[in-house]
Amino acid sequence: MQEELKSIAEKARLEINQAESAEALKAVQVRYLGKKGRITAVLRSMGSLPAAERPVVGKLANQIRDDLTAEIAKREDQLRDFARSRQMAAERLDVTMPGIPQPLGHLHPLTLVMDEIAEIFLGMGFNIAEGPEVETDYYNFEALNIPKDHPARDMQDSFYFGSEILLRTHTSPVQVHTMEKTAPNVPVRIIAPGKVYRRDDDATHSPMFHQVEGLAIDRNISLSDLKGTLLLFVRQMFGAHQQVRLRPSFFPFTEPSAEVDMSCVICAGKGCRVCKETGWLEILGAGMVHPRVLEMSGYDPEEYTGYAFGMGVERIAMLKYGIDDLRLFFKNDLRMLRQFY
Amino acid sequence: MRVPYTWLKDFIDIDMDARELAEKLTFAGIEVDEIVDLRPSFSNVITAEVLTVDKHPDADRLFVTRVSDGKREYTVVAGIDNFAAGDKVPLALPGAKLPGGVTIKRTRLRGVESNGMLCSAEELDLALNPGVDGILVLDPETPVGVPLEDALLLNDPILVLDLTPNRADCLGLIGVAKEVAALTGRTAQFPDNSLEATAARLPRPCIIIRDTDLCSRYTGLVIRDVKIGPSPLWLQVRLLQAGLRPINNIVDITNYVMWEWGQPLHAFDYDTLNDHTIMVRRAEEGEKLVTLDQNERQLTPDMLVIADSARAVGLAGVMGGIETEVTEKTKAVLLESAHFDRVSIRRTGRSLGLFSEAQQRFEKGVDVNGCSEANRRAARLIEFLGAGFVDGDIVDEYPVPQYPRKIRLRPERARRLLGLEISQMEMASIFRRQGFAVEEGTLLHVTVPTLRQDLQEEVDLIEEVARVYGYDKIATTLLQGTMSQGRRTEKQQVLRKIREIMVACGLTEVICYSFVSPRQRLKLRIPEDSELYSMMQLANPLSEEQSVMRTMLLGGLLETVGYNHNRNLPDVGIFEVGTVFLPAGNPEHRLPVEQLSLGIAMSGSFPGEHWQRKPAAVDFFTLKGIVETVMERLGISDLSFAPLDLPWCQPGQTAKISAGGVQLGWLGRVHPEVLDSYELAKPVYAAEINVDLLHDRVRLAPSYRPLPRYPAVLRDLAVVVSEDVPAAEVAAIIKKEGGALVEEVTLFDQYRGKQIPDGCRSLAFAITYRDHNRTLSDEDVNNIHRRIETALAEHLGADLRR
Repeated sequence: MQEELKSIAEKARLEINQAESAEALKAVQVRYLGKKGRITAVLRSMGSLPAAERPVVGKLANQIRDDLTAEIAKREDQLRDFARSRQMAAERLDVTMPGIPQPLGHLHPLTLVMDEIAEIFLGMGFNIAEGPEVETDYYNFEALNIPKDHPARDMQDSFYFGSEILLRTHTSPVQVHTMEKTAPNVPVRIIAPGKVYRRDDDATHSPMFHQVEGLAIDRNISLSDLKGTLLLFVRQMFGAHQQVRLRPSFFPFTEPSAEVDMSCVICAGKGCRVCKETGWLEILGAGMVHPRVLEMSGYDPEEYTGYAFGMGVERIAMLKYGIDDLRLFFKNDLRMLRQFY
Repeated sequence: MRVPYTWLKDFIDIDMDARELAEKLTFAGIEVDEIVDLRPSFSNVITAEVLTVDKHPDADRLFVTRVSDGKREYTVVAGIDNFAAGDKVPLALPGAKLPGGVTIKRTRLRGVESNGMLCSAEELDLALNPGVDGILVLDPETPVGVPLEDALLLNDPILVLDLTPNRADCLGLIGVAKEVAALTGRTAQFPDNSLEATAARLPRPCIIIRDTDLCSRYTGLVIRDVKIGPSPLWLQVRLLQAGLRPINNIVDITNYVMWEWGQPLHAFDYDTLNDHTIMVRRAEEGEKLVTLDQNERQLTPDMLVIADSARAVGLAGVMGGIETEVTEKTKAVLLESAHFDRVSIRRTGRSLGLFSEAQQRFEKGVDVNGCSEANRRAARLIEFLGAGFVDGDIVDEYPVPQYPRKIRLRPERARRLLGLEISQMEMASIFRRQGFAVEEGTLLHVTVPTLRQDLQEEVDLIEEVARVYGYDKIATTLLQGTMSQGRRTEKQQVLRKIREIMVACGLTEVICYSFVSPRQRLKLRIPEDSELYSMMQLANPLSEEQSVMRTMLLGGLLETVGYNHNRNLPDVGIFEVGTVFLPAGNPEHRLPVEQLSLGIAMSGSFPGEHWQRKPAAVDFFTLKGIVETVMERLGISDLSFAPLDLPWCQPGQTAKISAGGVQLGWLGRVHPEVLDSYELAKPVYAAEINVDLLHDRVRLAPSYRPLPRYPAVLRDLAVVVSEDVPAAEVAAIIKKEGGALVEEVTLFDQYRGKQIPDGCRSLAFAITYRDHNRTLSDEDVNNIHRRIETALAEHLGADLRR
């Protein structure tokens, strides 16, 4: 009987391992371990055995049943794995094919740069001020210490609508609007980004362009504070190793006035074609607010001082992104705009 | 301002080269733009002395000359003999290259060997000795045997200054020398211009300043026995270096002195002045003057003229008249050195379109106390060069003399404003080096000469201290004092958010010009009675194409679509956030309303090509979906769309965008005629939204609604309605009838065709029912659903399809 059991078990194992589907395996299970299965039949016929053999055969039969059950389970797992593998093989992709592009758009590079400038100055406690693009002569010139017929008006050729109404030539009128609104309270700390207009149209000038103005007024503001603020700005915008230098200059609404250079971003100050071998790039104009400007806008220049600066956004963007043609900014060629994010 | 380096050295001893000096000046705010020279376009031309001049034995019109370079002698055949033995002349040696690609070779001319060529100014492309034909005869003291460019100082560096308008003092070499003195600590030295008093032989000039408001000083000096001729070459070369054209000795000297002293001079032919009178007055109505450039000028009473007793003879400070011009026949001249009002000069120059060197100096301001000095300098030069003799003393009309200003400077204020530790002594020294008188106490009192008109008040002196001391010595510090917090205003946040959403919707930002062509009105079919029709007109546009201010963004957007279509980019989805300008009354006097607008334009497919799925052509609902997304993300509730007719949009595909009864903008398919006028072949959908109005309705911070605790029940509902019943109306009735229990109504299908009568369509809605306080039973939902069906049938004649 023991031999018979072993031979049945042998056969069952063979069938289990030959079963190629879950159904076939189930059939094997029924055939051997089911109610009418062959192992079950052996167990049932135990009564005909001598009493002494029964425990031995019983133990063996139980052993075989447990073994086969385990093997069936194992084969079941195996078959499931096979099936999964087959399915996965069938679902194999060419992963080098392009993904579905998400249709995200692009911000204009000038917006990106103005946003970044704004972030830096917001972090320094500046607010963002705005003003109209069509201005009166008073706000664009007079209140900035540029009287009528002053030669300084030649520095900026203006678009006029009438003798007193024009397109602003700089964002500086926002200084005046802001001071008029705030005086005599301090501190004033604003930047004013926006469009400005000058009668110039050639390879390096656009009749419309963008500036960011800055203004700080408080007690005891000094030229060294201006230098410190601009150094911080330049380092955040162009990198921690940047240097700035101030050169004396003239703007009617600041005194002292300065042109501000930063170390060349192309050659890191070594000298290249972009910086005309000087290692420096002019990036903005600045100065201490002229006492007459403070006074006209309601601040006592004996008590308060301040600084102001103005930078061209296109120039910053050109340096930041390596754009070599100013006119590209307003052509709106999607092949250009899609490069910015 | 061009500063010839050697000329500048007449006045100050400089121990650095031109580059170093340029750097020093630039860092003191006198920006040197570039260093140039008159480097010639010839080579191998040397100076030589003429030994003999003889007629050519075999040619009537040729001459045989022997010339020497000091070491060797050369035989040269010349075509002219405007020179004599002993003269110095330019000799182009065999192998020399002359302008125009001429190469000089050893040749034989009618049997005589010619070892080079004697050159005229023209052959050397030098604007010297105007009006003199023949070989360029050099100044007698010219060394021989040296390259011509060295002899004439043509390689001498010239510093080109880019002066700021406040530094008129540096429009003369004397002023530049004073600046160099301040920066280097060296002393500037100026020529002695004193004149010995001589008895006058000619009648005295009668000088009358009638309009003293426009002319504060007039000095006149008579020169007799004038011999008009060319100036010496060294002087002519200096004028060329300055960028001026040599004319004749008298005119050249006036220009030469202007370059030195910054004071424009004018020379009148004295005998042409009626009654030897100079009258400085405003022009009379209808008065005319032919100026030196041969143009007849129509004068107006706001222009200042120099007149004699009968007529205007010059535009004061701008240009002289032709009738009193110095000519070859001139025997005596009156030298004018005067001070005119800068505004008047500026206006006169502008209105006549003139920009002379003299005018530019007067506009920027010349030193009223330098007039007589410059005049005497010119007189001394004229005598020195043998061009004439001073006749009598200078006549100086100076009714109200101006004196140097004394300005107080508080050293502590300077230190505080600059953030610079600098001693009072150092400050005083900076001023003294420039020749300013300084009184020192606890404060400084600085006496500033009238040449330095940029120094008017204390803050100007503070800048002067920083400028000369060096901006590089200023420290970097950070703002102290009251802290302030930087934050975007709500409107700025809204704008930022709009841009973000636009980008998330797949649109790309563009920036178009604010000024457009007036033809845009026609191209966009803007009707004359529209508030968008009238546009701000620029008085001085650069071109017709950019001459009026836009009242809509659409024009620029359509141009941008076309630009990209033409570059084979058919799929365009763009937006712009920008100002439009709506005139509020006469734009010459009144500021416009500046309205912030959001414009969108879409064309082509959206999203673009992909191997896996077909792109969908953009249509009305693509754009509408974007508009709805923007509104939803800005927290705008009560949004509604209604059919609208706009001239620039296709009828039936145009909608008004409103919220709470306020029209915020429009969207639609651009009218085919508008597409034609922009030469666009494919459909374009566009929208424009008033951001200012939008901003009023934005809710930036959403408020939280608790999550539902009871389940929702979904039911579909399909109705057949007449084509003229808008879907929005059906949805509105569903919501109204269902009340609070209808949570959401979604249109999921539209069907026309089989089983649907002509002129009708079937609309299928999915309705979500929910009660927030209990679970809805089937029965509850059936009841509401039935009520809705009944209402639809009643109000819209809807046929229900089950």
